[in-house]
Amino acid sequence: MDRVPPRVLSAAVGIAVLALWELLARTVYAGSYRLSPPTAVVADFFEYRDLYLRNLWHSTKTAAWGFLWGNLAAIALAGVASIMPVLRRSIGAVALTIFCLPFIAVAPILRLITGPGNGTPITLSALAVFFTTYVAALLGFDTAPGSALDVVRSFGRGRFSAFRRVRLRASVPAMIAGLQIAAPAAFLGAVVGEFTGARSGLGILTVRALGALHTDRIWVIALLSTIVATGGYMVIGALGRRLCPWAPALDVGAVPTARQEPGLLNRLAALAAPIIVVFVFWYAFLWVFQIKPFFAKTPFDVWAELFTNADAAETRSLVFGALGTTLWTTSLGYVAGLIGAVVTAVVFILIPWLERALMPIAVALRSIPIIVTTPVIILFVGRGLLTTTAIVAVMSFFPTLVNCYAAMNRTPGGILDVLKSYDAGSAANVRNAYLPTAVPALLASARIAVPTSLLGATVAEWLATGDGIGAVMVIAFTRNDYNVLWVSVAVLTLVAVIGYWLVAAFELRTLERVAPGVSR
Amino acid sequence: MAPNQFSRRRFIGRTAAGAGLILGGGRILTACGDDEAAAPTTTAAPATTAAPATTAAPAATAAPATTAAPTTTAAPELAEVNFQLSWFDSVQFGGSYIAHQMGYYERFGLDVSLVPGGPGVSPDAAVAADQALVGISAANFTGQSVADGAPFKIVGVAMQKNPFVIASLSDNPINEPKDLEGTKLGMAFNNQLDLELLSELNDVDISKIEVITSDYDPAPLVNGEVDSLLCWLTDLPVAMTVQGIDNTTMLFADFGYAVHSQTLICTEESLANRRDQVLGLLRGDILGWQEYRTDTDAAAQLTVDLFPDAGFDLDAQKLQASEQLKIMFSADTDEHGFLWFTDESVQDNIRTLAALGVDVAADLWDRSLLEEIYADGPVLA
Repeated sequence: MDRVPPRVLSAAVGIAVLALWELLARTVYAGSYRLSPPTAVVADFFEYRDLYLRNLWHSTKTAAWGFLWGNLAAIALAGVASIMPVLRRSIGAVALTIFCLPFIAVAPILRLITGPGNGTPITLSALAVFFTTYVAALLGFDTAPGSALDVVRSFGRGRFSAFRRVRLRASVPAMIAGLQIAAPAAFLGAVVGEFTGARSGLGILTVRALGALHTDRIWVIALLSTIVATGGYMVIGALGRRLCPWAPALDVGAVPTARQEPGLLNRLAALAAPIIVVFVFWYAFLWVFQIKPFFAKTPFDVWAELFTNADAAETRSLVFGALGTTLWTTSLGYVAGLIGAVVTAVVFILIPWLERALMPIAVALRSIPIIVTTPVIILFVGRGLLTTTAIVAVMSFFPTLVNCYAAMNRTPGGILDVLKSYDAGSAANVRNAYLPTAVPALLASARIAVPTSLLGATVAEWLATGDGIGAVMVIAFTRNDYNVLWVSVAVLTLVAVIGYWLVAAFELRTLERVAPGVSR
Repeated sequence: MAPNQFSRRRFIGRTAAGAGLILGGGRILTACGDDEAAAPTTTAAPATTAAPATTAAPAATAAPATTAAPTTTAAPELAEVNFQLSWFDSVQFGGSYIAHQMGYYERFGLDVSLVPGGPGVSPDAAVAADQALVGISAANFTGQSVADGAPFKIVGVAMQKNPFVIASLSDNPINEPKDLEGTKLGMAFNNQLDLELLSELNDVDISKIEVITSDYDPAPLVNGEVDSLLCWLTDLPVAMTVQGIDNTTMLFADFGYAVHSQTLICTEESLANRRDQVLGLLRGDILGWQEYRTDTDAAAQLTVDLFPDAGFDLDAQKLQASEQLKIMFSADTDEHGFLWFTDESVQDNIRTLAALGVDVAADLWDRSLLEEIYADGPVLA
């Protein structure tokens, strides 16, 4: 098996999957309006080629604008944070908060500001890329070689010069890695944004196709979305390899730390500053856009709705009850996805031909927008609590698998040689070499997966299961209950931020112990 | 086009509806920045309509010299207003498309943009935020908003009967609410209260109905995962019929559920300060719907032609267009005119809404505009 070229293997697996798919669709699922055979999907695409291409073009264009604005803003702010380290924590907190905002509730609020048209989809896709690019760019600025920085300093130049002459160039590989992830995220943002009233685009075409029993059409859209999202990922990757062929493949995932100042007062200040900044942003947002009080809720309104209003108890039981459901199903899926990813990565390491056959598929699958995955998962697991869990598991599985495998693959040969000299078997290799090497990648993936899992859960609850906080937000929105909507958004965002920081704290402590060289 | 539109919308926001005139030169803003909202303007007139709208409409106040000029400079005195539709484009709004296409709104001094809705759009919110002069909502949503402090009035009712149905397959039909007991029902989770009310009104034990979440999708019914679906008369049942699947529908409205749907709403402020514009919009709309009623196939064809990106099935649009007549027109509208609502139906609504937990007063409805419009009889000429 080892002699077969990977491309041939991948192709063989791909053909086998397609054949099985065709067979299932023609037999078990025949006439079921669920699974379309690949041949029918291709035929449908060619029959309605113009329709598909027009809508694809529309969504892609929207995503491209969001990609541009979101990344520009992220890189600019990362630059500010790099030049003025004092602001780092605060900018990071705002960026993380944006990352943790639940899309499905933010979209209708954005619609109130941007009005009809393409404003909401573009903004949403810009928000979707903002955080990961910010982290990647900052990581890139930080990894600038100290010697080069010293040279700039010895010429008496300041931080800005250092940034322009050294850091900006040094950041290119990390930035490319960030932009790669951003491409599918931008597409997802654009497609969700179309739900706020669009005339064209794949998102709205999906809703129409579902309602009209156009099953082939749903599968064509799923395929097109996959191709565009994956294509964006790969094109940027190829661009990166061409721009800086010397750079190793990079995973975005360094812990965004700031040096801890000694002293209780300093610590408190370090903790309080980002929180204050987030609240200032909240008010600034309401003030700049002059949102009417009917829609606009301040932190005080949210507090009142939760604790002092007449119906506070009712709101609490509604929101926290639903949150409990969401957290339960999400954590199950989250843990299952992470464990599954590590196990699969180990299997891939031990059976290289399997890796060569399946990894390209895994890389492609990690960039499929969740809106597209959801109907497929419903097909296999039905509609219920398990649906949310399955969707969350899928969302955390693929990125973690790709990152962990890449890390294991970089296990220093020296360690393996030592193990070999002791005649160690595969099990010992896994235990002593591969797993420890993968720890940083696993933890970084686990941290990023906290907000994305919650995003996936709320989308699943909205589209499929009708329970949890996702459903509460949608009901609140359709009934114009903006108090409950803002409370839900605030609570869910807070939970995501806390989850993120818990994993980050665990990550820091573990890395100090397991891999002191990795943490800075 | 897109960056322009984006930066404008994002940074000016809705507060600058007037400032847009200064920035974009009025008509130009509509012509290039607003292609989403004003799509019908840019599409060629389909074969079914007599002539392009701009030349056919002798705009009431337009200066004669400018009527013949291209769109970018034509009729600058038309007031630009948004009309927020309740859902994605479809023949559901066929009468309004006709009004737009035939220049009926312009006849009353308005340049109306028909703004599509969607799952992420609340028409109430769009109206309250001054993004639309008039929006299409439903009495339960509007009642809730008013209870929460939003100053709305319902000025017209497009669907005399509520469009909610229980749809089932004809070989396993649900003909009356009682039939729901012991079956599985697929519905969007935010229809829970509606199902509760239907059950209560008809002495159905709701605990005997197994509810499964499904939305916008007839597949669960067709695939036998559920026995029925809560949906609209004019959406999923139409899709099934067009696919050759025999189905049975049971209208909520025939079993005591009286909730005005497709209600035209505006703010009290607009009613006081922009009354003429609201009147004009209603008048133009009524002309469009009167024409719609005479030839629903033409309305379906117009819809298909106007929105090529939607991938409409003409047969489905035709069927939806004619099905819709059953709930939009009634003896009351024949007697008083399209959009009319009787005092009796208002009282029915108040009772139904109270049962849904929404307390509203009769002054939520304002019929003065319709009374003015139909002063000379139930058909607008």
